[in-house]
Amino acid sequence: MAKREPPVILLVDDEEMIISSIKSFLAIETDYQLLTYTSPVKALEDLEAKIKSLDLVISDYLMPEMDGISFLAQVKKKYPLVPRILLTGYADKENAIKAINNVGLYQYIEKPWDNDDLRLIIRNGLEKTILLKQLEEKVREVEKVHKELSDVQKEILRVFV
Amino acid sequence: MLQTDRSPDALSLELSEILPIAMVKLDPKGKVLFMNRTCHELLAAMQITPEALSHVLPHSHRSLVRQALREKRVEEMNWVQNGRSLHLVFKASEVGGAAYLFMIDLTAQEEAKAQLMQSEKMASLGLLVAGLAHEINTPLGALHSNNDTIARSIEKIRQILEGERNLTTADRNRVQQLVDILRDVCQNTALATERLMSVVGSLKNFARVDEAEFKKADLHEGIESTLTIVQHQLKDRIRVEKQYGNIPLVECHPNRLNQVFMNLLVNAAQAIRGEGTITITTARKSDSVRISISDTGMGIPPENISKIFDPGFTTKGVGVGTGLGLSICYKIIEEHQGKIDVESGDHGTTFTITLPLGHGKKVKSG
Repeated sequence: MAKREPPVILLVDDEEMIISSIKSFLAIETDYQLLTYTSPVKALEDLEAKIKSLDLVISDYLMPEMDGISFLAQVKKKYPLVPRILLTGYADKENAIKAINNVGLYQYIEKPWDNDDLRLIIRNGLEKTILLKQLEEKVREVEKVHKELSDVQKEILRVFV
Repeated sequence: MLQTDRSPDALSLELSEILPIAMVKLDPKGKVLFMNRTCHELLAAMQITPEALSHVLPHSHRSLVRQALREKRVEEMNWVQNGRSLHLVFKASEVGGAAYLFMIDLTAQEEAKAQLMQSEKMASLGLLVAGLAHEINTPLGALHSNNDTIARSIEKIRQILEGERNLTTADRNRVQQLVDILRDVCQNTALATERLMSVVGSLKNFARVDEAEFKKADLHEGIESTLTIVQHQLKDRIRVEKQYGNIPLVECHPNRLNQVFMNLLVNAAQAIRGEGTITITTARKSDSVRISISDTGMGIPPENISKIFDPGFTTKGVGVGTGLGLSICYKIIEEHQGKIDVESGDHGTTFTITLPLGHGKKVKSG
């Protein structure tokens, strides 16, 4: 397989300590490129202006500016295929489950989380992204070939009819 | 307008019959001279024949009556007879050597009040716990994850050092020692955070505020989380023996039943002076499950055994028991259409709860 750029993950949590924990863990176990924000609003701004590609997004649920589900819904508009993971505390578990049904979450992770679980969920999410991207490419290729074929067909028809 | 064509005696008789207050007239020896209709109803509820009234007035209550006569105050008492308990407000008056007792039955009001207080307490406890659990989970999540990251890092450092050839034996040993210490510390922290996580988990499980309806639940899970909550009362003093049978899910209010388990476990722990054992047994009986909680404590004196489910009855003294614990347990089990029985002797006490598996919407009789 061709060498791929490290996957880009966006992480949003208003608690610096959570960001720091996840960042440290992923730094020693993976090559993921992690973009972290304590403000979902700032993250959305950068998503519009700065961030060039995105493979997965993780967001806390309870944040002062904007809740995680609204944030993920915004991200979905720009990157519909990117898996969305919600990080939840206890009190909002019910909401998280509702969101999985309403907004279409890939997964939710409950705090306190297990690092191995977190890594597995991220890895599976990324695999899904890669597969979807490959599928998109293939579809494009097929469409291209199909278009070429129909062009040839038209040409043939034009010549013979 | 009162009819005036009656004799004063007939009038007072008529009044006494329609009075919604139980009234008894006793001679100085305690013999019943007269009682009105409300009083007959009250005695019927207690399954006492009018003739037996003076005999069944318990000794302590007789002195209460005397005191009421002396002080002319309104008194309150719990009257337990034939397994029924009444909360009465009464006043005594003396007229020409005979004593008149007036009693109002406030049992229903008292029970409703106790229930309301308890459910408000549980609701605010639930909210508090939910908030607390949420607040604890964020830093706990960070700690738990960080510790794991440190452990992984130590492992990686150890691997690098193993491949490193340019180290003296002394340095290698010293580094190895440090790595070992770090590893131990990490393991210890992992245990500590896991303990915290399980306590928070039990708290959440215990104070499930969200469930107002009957649902199928695993009683063993409820017992386990309750045990975690009361752990500090047991400490090393009391051994808990679990004889869990193979029981199915039971349709119940899980958090209400947890309240019952907690009450019984705390009582059992308090009944044991010094060291002892609490045995929790569960078993299935055709269409019900049976949960017993036994202690090796001092037992309940026979004269108290009929009163233990009464609201307000306590032997624990001010500040220890509210006296509401067992009466609420009784009420909760009644709501589940189950029953709670007690057996007590010198070697300890056993409470047995029997719960039907399915909760038929049976109309309560009585």
